[in-house]
Amino acid sequence: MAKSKAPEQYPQGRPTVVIEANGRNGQYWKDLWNYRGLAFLMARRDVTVRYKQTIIGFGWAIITPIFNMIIMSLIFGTFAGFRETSEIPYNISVFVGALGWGMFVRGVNTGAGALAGAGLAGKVYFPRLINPISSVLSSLIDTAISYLVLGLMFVGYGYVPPLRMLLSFPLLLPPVILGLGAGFVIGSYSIKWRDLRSIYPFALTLGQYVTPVAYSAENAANVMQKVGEGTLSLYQMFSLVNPMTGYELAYKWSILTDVQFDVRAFLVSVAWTVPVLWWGIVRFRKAERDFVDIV
Amino acid sequence: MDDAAPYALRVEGVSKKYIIKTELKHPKLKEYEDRSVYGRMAQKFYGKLRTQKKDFWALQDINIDIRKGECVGIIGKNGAGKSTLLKLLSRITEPTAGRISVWGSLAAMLEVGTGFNAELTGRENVYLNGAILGMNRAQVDERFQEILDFSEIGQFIDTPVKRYSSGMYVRLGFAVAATLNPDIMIIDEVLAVGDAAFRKKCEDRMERITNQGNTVLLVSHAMANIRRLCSRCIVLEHGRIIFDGNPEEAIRIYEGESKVLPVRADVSGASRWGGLKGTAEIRVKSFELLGADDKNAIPIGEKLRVKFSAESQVPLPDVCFQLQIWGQGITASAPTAAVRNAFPTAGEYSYTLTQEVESLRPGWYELGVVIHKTTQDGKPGTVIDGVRGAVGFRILETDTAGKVPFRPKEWGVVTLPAAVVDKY
Repeated sequence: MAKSKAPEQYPQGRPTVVIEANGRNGQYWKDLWNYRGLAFLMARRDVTVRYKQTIIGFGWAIITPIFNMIIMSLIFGTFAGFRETSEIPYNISVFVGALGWGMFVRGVNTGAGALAGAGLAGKVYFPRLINPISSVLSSLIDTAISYLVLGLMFVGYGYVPPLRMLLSFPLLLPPVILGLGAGFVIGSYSIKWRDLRSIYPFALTLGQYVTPVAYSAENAANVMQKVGEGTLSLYQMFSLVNPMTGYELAYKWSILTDVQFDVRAFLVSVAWTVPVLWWGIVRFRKAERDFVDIV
Repeated sequence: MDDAAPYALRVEGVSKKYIIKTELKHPKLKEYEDRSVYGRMAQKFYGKLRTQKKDFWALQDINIDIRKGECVGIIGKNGAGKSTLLKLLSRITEPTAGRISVWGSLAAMLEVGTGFNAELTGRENVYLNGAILGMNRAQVDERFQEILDFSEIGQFIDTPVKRYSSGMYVRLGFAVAATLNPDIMIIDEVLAVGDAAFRKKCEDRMERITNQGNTVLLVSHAMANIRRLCSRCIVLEHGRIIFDGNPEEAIRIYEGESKVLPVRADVSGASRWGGLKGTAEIRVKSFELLGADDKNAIPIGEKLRVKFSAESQVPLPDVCFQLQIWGQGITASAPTAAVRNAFPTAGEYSYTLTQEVESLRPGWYELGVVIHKTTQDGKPGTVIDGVRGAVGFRILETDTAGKVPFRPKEWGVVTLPAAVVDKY
């Protein structure tokens, strides 16, 4: 987006940086690349600080997903009765499902929070996108620990994951990206409409139930049919447009042998991600520009 | 500075506007000025609804050219726009209008130890701080020993910085930035920290950076640093540049609390000096400094010449004029000069006053004129009008070659004529 500059007027050549009102900072993306080291260092700082300050340190990263799994397993497996439908231990299904969904939640929270505090922004220049990127990077340590727990569960339940599980690592990324995009949009609007900050966690919780996180498509169909045809078609209609269904199913497919890869749903998810991320970045860039002046 | 040196930084017509929100009194509020419950509720309601957005120009039409190798100081009172200017230069915020061009790498130290985290060790913080200032890992590795030596942290480098003394913290922060070596370095106030020895070390480093051909921009309230390091100094006031040039001169303008006053002014409507209302008989209408350059400076060796015009309503044949001078913490008055037949009829007359000002120390002064009625016995009597402070002038530093420069702090404020030395 480099703006065409006036013909060369300085003997020593073009300026390295031109700062202008409403400048379309053409080198933003170049800067982002140059500052990549900062993203890693900030992520390391966050991790170090987090585990230095808590008593059980890394323990929390293990306890949180396990507790989460137990609760979901109770709700969906025991109370809703989804437990007995597959060969695969239900606890593993739920754990994997929560892991995929958790990436999306992490993206949204990071994106929405990226514009909340000025911190370094008022002190020194760097592309502000470094902040959410480093947050996501630092959260990868939690993901790694979750995988460790998952491995232990495999051993405990005697479950052998398919080779395609290797694909589960790259498949963690799309939900984060979608979440970041959505988070940026939410974050930028919540500067003006603060209520959004209270509303979106509800939306996320709701999303967890309408997305096949703790159940399969068949589970859902069964339940809905019991409730009534109308509910089923409503649910199916929503599934068609739910941006997370595709990613969630793809992630579960990569680890769980009883899940089918839903190509259509995956494409729907991708079709959502592109505009949402674009919108999110546009909003983020606009907000970061005035940011320092407001806070 | 060498005019042929290439530009390092050009600031062209830069302005920065902030929007301040103020709560406005709703016109309806007048109806509810009583203290009843209903009235108070109404006040809350309307008071909340109406906010007024007001523009605040932190900087207006700033033009600065800085060439390679210059060390430029920026001084000004709080709120003059210094920090805003630095924020614009370091890309923390964008200008509202205008354009800033930068040649080469630029690093800003607006605070020492930016992004330091108390939980991390000194070493971890050095890498983090380096990255924030734009260095990559290899560059920090390369300079790590230098940073360690400069900061004198020694064995504490692997201790969390929360256990550092504030001096250690600051030293480490400065050390990282000092080894940065960008083409253009922007520094805000950071020299004012640390103990005397470390401060000296920082100043030496700054001087070395300047001598290496780097460009430095220094914002400070410490005039000693400006004197020592800067080859040029800019004075900001209310978001505008009021002076750009010799540091000594800049400091004098800044410290003298002096306003930059015009060379001529219409004072017919101006308030009268010292609560003096003036009388209906006569009114000073305008004021002009003659023979001064566009920066109000009286040429060296010349006398101060002031032209003023006054309009009298009645014939005032005998009056006394008196010139008064304020500035540099002193008030100086010339003896009154009685003038015969000054205003023979009602009407406007102009006069010039010529005053020897050799004994004034260099700096800014405000001018005032007082008109007295002359009494029967030819002495100045009632003051009939007086104006002060509408016009200002500057006394330049005389050629100091072969002389010790005037030292106001020790020598006071008035230069006496040279003493005559005789053998006794």
